Amino acid sequence: MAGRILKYEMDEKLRTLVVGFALAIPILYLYIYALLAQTNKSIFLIGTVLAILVFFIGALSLDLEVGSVGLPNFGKVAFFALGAYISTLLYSVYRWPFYHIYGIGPIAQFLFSSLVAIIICALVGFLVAIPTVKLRADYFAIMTIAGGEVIRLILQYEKRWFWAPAPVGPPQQVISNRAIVEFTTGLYPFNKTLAYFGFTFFEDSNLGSVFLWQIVVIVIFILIAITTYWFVQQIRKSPYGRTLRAIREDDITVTSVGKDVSRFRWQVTTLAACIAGLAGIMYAMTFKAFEAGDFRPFLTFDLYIFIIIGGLGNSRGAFAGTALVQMFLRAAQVQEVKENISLYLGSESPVIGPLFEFLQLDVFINPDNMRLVILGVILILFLLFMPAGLIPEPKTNNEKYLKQLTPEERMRSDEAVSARQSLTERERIGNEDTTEPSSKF
Amino acid sequence: MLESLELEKDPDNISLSAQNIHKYFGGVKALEGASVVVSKNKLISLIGPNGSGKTTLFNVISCWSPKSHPDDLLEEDEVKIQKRFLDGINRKFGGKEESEETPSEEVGSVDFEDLRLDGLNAHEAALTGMMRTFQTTRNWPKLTVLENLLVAPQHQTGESFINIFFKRKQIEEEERINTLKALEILDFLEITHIRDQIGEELSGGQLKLLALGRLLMTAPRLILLDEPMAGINPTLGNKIMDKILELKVDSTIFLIEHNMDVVFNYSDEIFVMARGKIIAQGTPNEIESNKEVIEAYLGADY
Ligand SMILES: Nc1ncnc2c1ncn2[C@@H]1O[C@H](COP(=O)(O)OP(=O)(O)OP(=O)(O)O)[C@@H](O)[C@H]1O
Ligand SMILES: [Mg+2]
Repeated sequence: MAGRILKYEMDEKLRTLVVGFALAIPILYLYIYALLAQTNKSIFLIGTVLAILVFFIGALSLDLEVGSVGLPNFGKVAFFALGAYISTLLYSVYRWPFYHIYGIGPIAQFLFSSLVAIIICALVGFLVAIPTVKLRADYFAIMTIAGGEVIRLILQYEKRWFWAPAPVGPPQQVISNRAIVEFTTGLYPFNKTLAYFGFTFFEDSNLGSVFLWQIVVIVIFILIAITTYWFVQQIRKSPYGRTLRAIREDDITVTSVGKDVSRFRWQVTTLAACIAGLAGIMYAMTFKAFEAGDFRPFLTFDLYIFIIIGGLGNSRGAFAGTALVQMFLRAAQVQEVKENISLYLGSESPVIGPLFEFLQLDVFINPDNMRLVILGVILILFLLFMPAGLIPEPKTNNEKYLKQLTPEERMRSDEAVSARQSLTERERIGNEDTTEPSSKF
Repeated sequence: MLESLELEKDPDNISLSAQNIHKYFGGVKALEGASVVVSKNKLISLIGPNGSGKTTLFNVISCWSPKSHPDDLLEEDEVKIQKRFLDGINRKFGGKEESEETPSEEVGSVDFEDLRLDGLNAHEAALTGMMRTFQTTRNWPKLTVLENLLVAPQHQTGESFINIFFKRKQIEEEERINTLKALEILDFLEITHIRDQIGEELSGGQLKLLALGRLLMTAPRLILLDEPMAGINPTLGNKIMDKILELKVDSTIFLIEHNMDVVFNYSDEIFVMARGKIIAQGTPNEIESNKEVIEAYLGADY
């Protein structure tokens, strides 16, 4: 019943608003609770913002494939891993070839590493795409999940190349990205707090101090996110994107009008691989230390949760989903949230308390251990009742084509539409009060 | 009969020529050496009982499924594979003239105007100017009717990834032209009133018209229509047929249809198919009086 109401009877905007609030209020509550428990609140806040931006770009990449052209890529995490590994190894470990040039060396090295990472992601994306895009959706999913795992295992066990050589002892599996650290420590004015420049908002509101470099990184990440968003939007709005949607709905008809469906598919897969590689580079910069074990398929599933909750085939939805779920995940990991939630559930009251203790419910009932269950339930509810997501893909309409026409051309067509519609209306009314059926067929 | 034979002899006047086509599905012989020759700017019909291989012939012609080798059912697998292998080697290294020539006669061939279609992909075949519709109508359910038409034009500038960013002006201009063309086609098919509806909201008949419209967006020279009037009320059916007749000026129409009134009233020539073979061909009058056809398909009423 509730589903029926959600599906048919509520206005779409209102539904987004209601469900959005129903989801956002508890998450915000949890998040603020977690935030207040922090000693350095600004770090927590900045960490969340950066994570949201990184995963937003990852979600865009996935949505371009799943939402726009209907290719269920379950190996997305591999490109995260490739982007992170290659950029970090080139910049922080091998430092080849530009790093030691005086002055511009590190910057040139950083740009070079990022570029190489993205190019390699594109190549691998292309190589994976060629044999797989002709497969049916379910086989495509299986192939990509397998491909992703293969890449992760190579990164994990190929010690010669993908482990960081240590000054003493065997190579280390954990890779550290030093890009942000190197660019900011000791480099005036990045290493100064905002208060140094007279902007004391964070200190005044007791959030801890914020360094200029943190703001710069956030601004750069936001710029990258906006550019990627713009890029994806351009594709979606173009005739190219229209053909992609047609492929998603029925590729046989697309072939029958003479379009090479595989070309579109491998292009999108390759492009999405580049974007995921970009997200991987940002992932490495944000989380600084990582290893192959961080890139398990779970990360891909997280991205799926973001875009399904947010709305498939829709970049703004990808952002909404990423932001909500990331805030939940971040808040759930905070120690105070984990501990205090069982207090709410009455572990100290006389009757329930011992039972609570006996069953060790506090281990289960805390948002960190329950997060997969909670996300799973939310996901299932969405799939059942709001498959289009929080912000559904905008309905296509003809406005953008019709507004290219001259007023006369447009009026002629509009008139034909409305003339015929009122005619059918009249026919319908006419039929109701005459006994003779209008058509004998 | 004479008339049609004369036309066949003039190679410039032939739009489509499919010779000796075989198609086997496992043991099912869907096509057994069917041959059709379709002259330009005519409306040609293909009739025959259910399961006689009409759709299969269309699939082979439009390169949706590969044709079978006539030997496929005759020889043992082993022998067959060996023979193919040797043929391949001969063709590649031996350069023997005869091994190039002999197969095409036994194996059969599909020619569209001057083009040999064998071995093309479905989309490549569609790019040659030969378009088809499907027996079960297909559309893009979430796209508007106008968009359904706008996807169709071939070689759009805006369909190349790079051009989206560097050839905006040209794309805009093309979109405008295509929109005007689409509106014209909607007018022609008299379905302007469903312009703003989306594919999944349409009725069966409207979908048939939309499929026809989509095909017209590409200005095809040969149109293969698989039962365009199935499930359509006779008034609308006649309307569609009149529309199709108007297309004869620019294109050739090859039509599969079970509605005999339509077939006999509108066709220039009729092919009759039964059990994977063409059993008769001729003008409507000739077919109507052909004993074999009456037996196989039309029944005693005719
Ligand atoms: N994909 C397939 N696999 C196996 N058999 C097939 C396949 N497609 C067609 N056939 C067989 O080939 C024969 C011819 O089928 P086809 O679809 O060409 O008939 P048709 O003449 O179009 O009939 P209808 O008038 O009912 O549309 C049938 O016996 C059918 O069972
Ligand atoms: Mg058929």
